[in-house]
Parts: sequence; C-alpha cells; structure tokens
Amino acid sequence: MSDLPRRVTATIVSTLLAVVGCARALPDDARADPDAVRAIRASLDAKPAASEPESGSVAATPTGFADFTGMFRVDGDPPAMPPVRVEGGDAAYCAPGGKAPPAETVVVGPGGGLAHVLVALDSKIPAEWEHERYAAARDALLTGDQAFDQKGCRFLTHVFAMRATQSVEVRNSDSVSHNTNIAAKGKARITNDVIPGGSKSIYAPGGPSGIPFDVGCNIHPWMRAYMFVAESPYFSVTNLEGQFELRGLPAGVELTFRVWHETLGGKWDSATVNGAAAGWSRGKFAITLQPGQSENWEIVVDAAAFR
Amino acid sequence: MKQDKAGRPFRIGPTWIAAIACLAAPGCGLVAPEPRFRTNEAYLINQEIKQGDLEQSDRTVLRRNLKNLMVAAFGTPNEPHVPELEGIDAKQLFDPAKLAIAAGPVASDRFGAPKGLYREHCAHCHGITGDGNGSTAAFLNPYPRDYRRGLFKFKSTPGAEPPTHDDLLRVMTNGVPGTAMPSFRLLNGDEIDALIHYVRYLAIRGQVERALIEYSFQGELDLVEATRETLSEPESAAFVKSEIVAVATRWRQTETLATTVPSPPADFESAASIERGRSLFFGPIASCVKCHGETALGDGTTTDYDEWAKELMPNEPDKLARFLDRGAALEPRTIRPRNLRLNVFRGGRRPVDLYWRLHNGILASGMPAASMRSDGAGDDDPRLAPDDLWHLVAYVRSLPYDALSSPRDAVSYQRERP
Repeated sequence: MSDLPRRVTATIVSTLLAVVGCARALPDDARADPDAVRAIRASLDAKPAASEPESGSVAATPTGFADFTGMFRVDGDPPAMPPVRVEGGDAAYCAPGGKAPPAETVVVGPGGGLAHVLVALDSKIPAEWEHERYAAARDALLTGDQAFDQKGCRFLTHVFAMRATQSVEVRNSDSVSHNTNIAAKGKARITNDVIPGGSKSIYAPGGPSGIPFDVGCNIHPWMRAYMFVAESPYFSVTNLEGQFELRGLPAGVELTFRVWHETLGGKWDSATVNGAAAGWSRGKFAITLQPGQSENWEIVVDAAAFR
Repeated sequence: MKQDKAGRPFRIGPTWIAAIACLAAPGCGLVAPEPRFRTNEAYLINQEIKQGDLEQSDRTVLRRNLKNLMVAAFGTPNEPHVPELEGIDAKQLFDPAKLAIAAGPVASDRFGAPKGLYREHCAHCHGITGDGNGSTAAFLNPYPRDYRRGLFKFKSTPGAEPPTHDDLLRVMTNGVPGTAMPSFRLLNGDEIDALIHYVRYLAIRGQVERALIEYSFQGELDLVEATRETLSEPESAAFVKSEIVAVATRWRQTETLATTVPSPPADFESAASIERGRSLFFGPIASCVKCHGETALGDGTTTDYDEWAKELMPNEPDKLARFLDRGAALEPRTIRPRNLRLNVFRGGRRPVDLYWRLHNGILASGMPAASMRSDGAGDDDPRLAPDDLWHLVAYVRSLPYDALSSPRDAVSYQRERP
C-alpha cells in the first residue's frame, strides 16, 4: 500500500482542479489588443469626412447592357427527400390520407436541373445603371402568380426573391389558417401575421435583407421557405430546369454575383462552369460583360455536395 | 488491482507541475479577472454553418478583429463606451451618466448611492454580456432573455420594433409573472432608469455585433481579411458607425410607434362579450385554438421553437451539437403556447396588455399578430375589428374563472353528474 498517499493526493488535486479550476473554461475568447482598440476608437470617434465614400461601389461607368443566363445541373444521384413531419390538429388536412409532402431541401428536376438556387447581383450599383425594363416594376405590388402563396400547408415558392422597394401579397389558398412568420434579416422588416384561410396580407420589406432568411408557420412548424430581399433588380431563382436569367445587366464594368442554395448556403468555393473549374469565394464570383453579350453558363454541381 | 513497482519514489513530474500551476493561477480566484463581454459565439457558429466553415486560423483572426472592433465601439463591462453618433440624441438611449451607475463592479459612492447595479441585480441570470446565459440561466425555465438580438416580447410596439422606454419600465417594475424575472419595484426610479439605459446599451451592442458578423461573412467588412490598420481607416469607421446609427435610430423612433388602443365597447366583459370572444377563439380568423388548444391549456402546436432557439438549428442534431459542444448556448427547449387558465399572463393581465399581445403578437415566440381589418373596412371584411379583439380579451380574461379551470370545481362538477 505504498501508493496510497500518492493516490490520495492525486484524488484531492484532481477534484480541486475539476471543481475550482476547470469550471472557468469559457468558449471565449480573444482578448482585445489595447493598441488596436485605441486606434479604432480614435477613428470611430473622429468627425466623419465631408463626403462618405460609398463602400463597395464600382468605379467605372457601364458601356451598355448584357445578359447573363445559365443552368445548374446536378451530377449524380441527389439525396431522396423524406416527407416532412406533419402533426397536430390540421394533420388530416395537411397530409390527406397520412401522405405528407416531401421536404424541399434539395429539389432536382427530371432533367437534372437544380431548382431553388438564388443568383443575385452582389455589387452595389447606382440606380442609373439599371435597365429601363425594371423601372415599371420598381415599386410594384407583386400579386397574381407573383404572389407569395401557401397551399396544402406548404409554401408554393420555396425560395422567393423580391426587390426592397416592392411589396408582395402573402396569400393563403388553404382553408386552414396560417401565420406567416417572416424572420427577416438585414434592413428587411420582420412580421408574423395570422392569415386566415382564403385571406391575404401585404408584406413590404422596406429594405434589403443582405442574405436569404427563413419564412415559417408556427401553427404548422414543418412549413419552410426562404426569402431574399434584393437591393437591385438583378436576381433570379432557378426553376425545375435549373435555369436562371439576369437580363439587361450593366456591361463594361466588373460585377460580383452571389449564388445561394438552402444546403450549400454561401459555401460554394468552387464550381464547374462550362466544363472548367471556376474559383468561387463563398458563392461569389466577379465577371465583366461586354455590351450586347449573352453570357450563358452551365454549372455542374456534384451530388456529393448535398451529403 | 494494478500494482506499482515497489519502492518507486513519489516524483513530481511535468504533469504535476502543470496541474498545480493551473490550479494556482486561474483557479483559486485570488485575482478575479476583469469581466469581459463574450463574443457572440452562437451566431458565429450559426453563420459558419449557413455561409461556410472557416479555417481555424481565419476563425482566430475574425474573433480578434471583432473583439477589437467591439471594444473600441462599446467599451468593456467596467468602462462602457458609445461613439459619437451624428443625428442621434444618445442621452435618450444610453446616457453615459446612467451607464456609469449601472455598469462596473458592485459598490456605492461616499454618499451611499449604489453603483454596479447591473451586476448586482441582473448579471446572474442575463449574463455580463446580456446573452441570457448568466450563471443561473441553465436552471431557469424559461431561460432569461438574451438581449443581443434586440428582440423583446412584452411591448406595445408592432412587429420587430424595439420596446419603448415605458415597456421596459413596466417589465422592470412588474417583473414577468410565471418566470424567474422578479419585480424591481424596490429600486428607486433613478436606479431602474439606469438599468433600462444599460439594457438598451447591451441590446444595441449585441445587435451591432450580429450585424458585423453577418457583414463579415458577406464580405462587406471582411473581418478575416481586416487588420488593425484597415479597421482604423475612415471607411471602416464610417461603415461601423452607420450600422450603429441604423440600430440606434430604430430604438429612438420606436418611442412613437406604440400601438394605440381604442376604447373597449360598452358591453366589454359582459356575458355576450365573453361569448363573442369564445366563438372568435375557436373560429378560423383568430385561430387561437390552433396553438392554445381546444381546452386553452396551451396544448395545441407544441413542437415548435422560438426564434432564439431556432438559431441553434434544434431539429438538426449534428448542427445543434456544434453549439452545445462549445458551450455557446443552452440546450434549446420547445416553446409552449400559454396555458390561459392559470391567470398568469407574462406580459401583464390588464385588458390593455392582452389587447397589445393579440394585436401585435408576441415577437419571436411564434404568437402572430391578429388579422385585422383594414382601416375603414365594413362588416364585409371577414377579418377582426378592434371590438372583436376586445371580446377576445374578455374571453381570455374569463378563462381562469371558468369552472374547468378550478380542479376542485371540476371534481364537484363530475360528482353532480347523474
């Protein structure tokens, strides 16, 4: 029993360590660097210069207009979508015969096209650069087939994009009530209104969201859609053929675009564009289009990316 | 039992030295470290999951830059700071004199006036950072409010508009019934006022931090690429300041946005009024029954999460584990629709409180705003008129006195049955 004192000591020390010492470990945290803090604070507390430079604006002037279209195609077998978990008082209505609709996380059309990919202009451009074709709808109320609708306890548009200056009719084509919980980001307005069956409400975001955000229904927690509120009119969401189109883009200037998908988010760091590897950074890439040019891309996504 | 080699002397090796050093240096608390604001780790993880994981080295750089920026803009728990904001009367939002009373260690000045009020009364639950993750938080249900999103539930303003000064004052003086939030009625008015300013400061600080995290991942002010020098440039400063101004402006404007409450109808809370409320409660327009259940016990939809929990992706175990493993958040719980028979209403039980809850919803909880008639619409508009809301208020206020709500009455009711 010569090791008894050693074991007693070990027990006492490790208990003390565990109780007193270890409990302080926080996931935090970088410590602030006092010199950096001083320098940044001096700059924050300084009176601003006479004219505030527009951050991220493009320096050159456009020389015309161009189109940018393309399609996203999935290479390989995409994951099968499980049915959504329908439960609660409206289950009989929302999943008639116990058949719940499938989740829409990854939707691939019959031709292999990847649906629900958002392609949007990321560069901030002055309003004068916008093509006149967009002027009429600038402040429009999106209604009819452009409305944001829900039927069968699912959102009919899984990824919905609109301009910050527009407003949209949020419809409920079901006979049960929904509450459309628009958990907006950025400068877009958060709302959560009851929309009784057959009724509608108007959503006016008032400002751009910066990134896509969730839309849900708390009565039916399985309902899920995404919204993106764009600053410019240049955005497109791919259809079942995987196609997007951005028309009347300013040409002759470098433009940055953003690509987003529900599971891939802004993580896209590489893509195969027209057969060649393209280096993207967080779903962003920059191109300069020539006046009159029709740029068309085929973008191949490896099905393994969804696992 | 495993035996050691006989006669081996007890040696103090490197492991022991390290263990004792660990114990001696941070553990014993001989020198309490100055409290620091914690970085919003949960939102960084959320954005990594959504926008793409970072390399470990980039993570470190981002956190260091964010930390420097946040301390430069908002100071520390002992020395809060707010930059000069053009066009904003900062005194109304976070008066430096009031922040000084609420911030810092618990103490009193030579006249006996208290200081460090936030740490004395709030920090155990809401945390030094206002992240709702103080040392008692894990033991409370519901968890204390995380101020850093700027979202508050019990307020008079619509949608995501911040609470007014009076809304915060009401929560401070009445507490939040049914939760661990007590009334602070025993503090004097100046002390409560100082705490309100400090809570607003923590909320605005948290909102700006979240925005900076988002902007970093979007590349607008990339904190992975940034250095001390680039962050000190006027362009960066202007960008950060414009974000602070945007958040602060909403807090200033909200003071005028409280929903006006019309007078209740003459028959408010009469038998007919309660009956009308009852039919609306079960009806398709108000849809109360969907979540609060046919019994109003809060047993309708019970599988949903509130907006704070949703950010931890609770339905995706792999993702949720990333938050919990790093201790970045408390285990999320589903949100329970209120049991309306208990006569405990968290935002207050006055008719006006319930009117606000119905009209505006309860922000971020899932409780939606009522579907109201457009101004000037007549009875052909099926949506709710203000009087309808009042009748719903009447019904909800009558529920705790309903026979079903009293267990004793319920039993005798059964006995009376033939």
